[in-house]
Amino acid sequence: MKGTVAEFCKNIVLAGVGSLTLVDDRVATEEVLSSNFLIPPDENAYSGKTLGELCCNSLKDFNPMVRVSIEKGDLSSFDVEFFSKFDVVVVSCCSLSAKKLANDKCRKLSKRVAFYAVDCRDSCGEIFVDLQDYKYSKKKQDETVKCDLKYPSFEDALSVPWRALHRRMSKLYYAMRVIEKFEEAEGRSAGEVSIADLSGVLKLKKEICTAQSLNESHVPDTLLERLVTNAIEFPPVCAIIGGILGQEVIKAISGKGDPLKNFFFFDAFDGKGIIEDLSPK
Amino acid sequence: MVSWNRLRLGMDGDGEELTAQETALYDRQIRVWGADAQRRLSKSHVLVYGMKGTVAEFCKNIVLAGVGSLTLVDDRAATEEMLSSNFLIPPDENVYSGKTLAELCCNSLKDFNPMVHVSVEKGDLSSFDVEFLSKFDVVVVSCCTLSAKKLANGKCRKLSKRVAFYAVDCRDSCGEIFVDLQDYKYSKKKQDETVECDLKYPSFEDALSVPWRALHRRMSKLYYAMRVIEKFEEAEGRSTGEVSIADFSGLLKLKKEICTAQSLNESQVPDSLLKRLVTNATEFPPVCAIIGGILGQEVIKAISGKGDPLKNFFFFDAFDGKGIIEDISPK
Repeated sequence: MKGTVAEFCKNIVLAGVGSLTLVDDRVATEEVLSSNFLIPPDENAYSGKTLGELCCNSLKDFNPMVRVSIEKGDLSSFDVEFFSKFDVVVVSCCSLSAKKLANDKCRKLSKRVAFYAVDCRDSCGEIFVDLQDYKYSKKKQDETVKCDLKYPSFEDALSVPWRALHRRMSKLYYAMRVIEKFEEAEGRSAGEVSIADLSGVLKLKKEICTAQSLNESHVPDTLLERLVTNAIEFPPVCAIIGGILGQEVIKAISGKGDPLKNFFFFDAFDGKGIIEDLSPK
Repeated sequence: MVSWNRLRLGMDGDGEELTAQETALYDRQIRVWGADAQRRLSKSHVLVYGMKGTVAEFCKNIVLAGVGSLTLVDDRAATEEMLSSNFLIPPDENVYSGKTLAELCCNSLKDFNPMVHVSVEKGDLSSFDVEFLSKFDVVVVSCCTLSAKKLANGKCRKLSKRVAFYAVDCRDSCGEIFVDLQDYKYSKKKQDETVECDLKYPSFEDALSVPWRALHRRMSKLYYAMRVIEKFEEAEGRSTGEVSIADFSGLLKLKKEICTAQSLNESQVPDSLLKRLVTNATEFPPVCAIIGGILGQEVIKAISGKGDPLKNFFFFDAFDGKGIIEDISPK
């Protein structure tokens, strides 16, 4: 339940999904307050409760027609049968391997589950989408057209060699991967980085770029520095990413409109939103 | 840490330090953009007219970010249909009936950040005089007519201090933001050095006076569509958003007239787009979040003096997911 996800949840609750199940066993702290508006600012109200519980209570107030509940546990502890209860799974605040594992479990189901991974650092955001084999219809000049899109898994998308990506590929894609790998290598939780880690991150960047035959200039030091210096979120960026994610989930559920395929990057610093399609050939 | 140059944004107490409480609460934001920027934000005063869903989103964002004060104006009574896109309105009818939109939103916003002074003002936008507007650093208007927007913008420009003016509108899954920062000086970082920039913005009236045939070929179709609908509402004496599919033929007639007068090919204003915009006057929650998020970001940029601001229109269509910036200025 990061700020971005709080925004997303509010949007889909207002839009009227059937049910929403929240999972976040972390205890609320003061630093979470500034970007997650679902947490009441009164310390007496939030101390001792988990993020999932606090957000659940607030979300219920927005739309009584939506059943909001919480579930306890770590993402890796949920089995395939648990995921089969859902049509959409959105994950955030977890490691690279946890995202891959969760995505893979969703893909094992006989029914199609829409999977999203969302991450927000400094004034940047990333959304990954896996709709597997997605059929939908859209209107094109007074006639309805059938479309069929095939999505790769998160693991397969990330397996595309960096040298195979187009020249103007979003630098955020590379930067996010470097930081994720650094966190994993160091055994950190997602977002547990600081400026003290910059030299280690730069060292890893050099190693990965060499291994991937990618010129280092595609992963600017300044961008990495921004992302490790400020792991917290920024309220307007949470709203934008949460809004776009909400829109994408509603599209996927309703079957209306072209969905994102398969990455979205946003940097409030330059105000640009970029869609990138990373798929093995 | 780079410190941005002090900018005269007309805020009170330029020399004041952030209080200990403010420093603690905004510690992380201060590290992001510096204490000076946060100080400006904490001393800024924002006026908002018209509590649509988009504006509710905007207000929540700037309250969380920590503006000094926020004044809300919307004397309309809350209705059930507003609930679906304005999350600041409590769903319990016993709570919202009998209260104005501004009052309801004010109560909710206070809960998000006790450090921000949120209050309500009564009245119609056209009744506010120049002296009243001089109390604010930022004015955001929504839910009002074309002429009301022009008038409000004109009044802000009469002030000796610079007031940032924004007009925001959201119909169906589309949104528009207009920005007027007048003569705006700011600094930005460019490869380890700080660059001073100066942008000159036209008024809303002057921007709209640019002949359509002078606009570039790939101009956002939303710009034209929004203008046609605004003019239709005004000609018919309607309030903003008071259109429906029953008005479609009248709109198409007006579109034809305006395109002829402006020497613009009609295909630049698709019938299908106009139809979408008049059929669904209600807002869509995720679009409110996106537009409200972008508007929040722009206002914070303008107050803090950090980063390139929008100049001077932003259009968003959730249908194709595209956000477009257009600079419409008389030459």
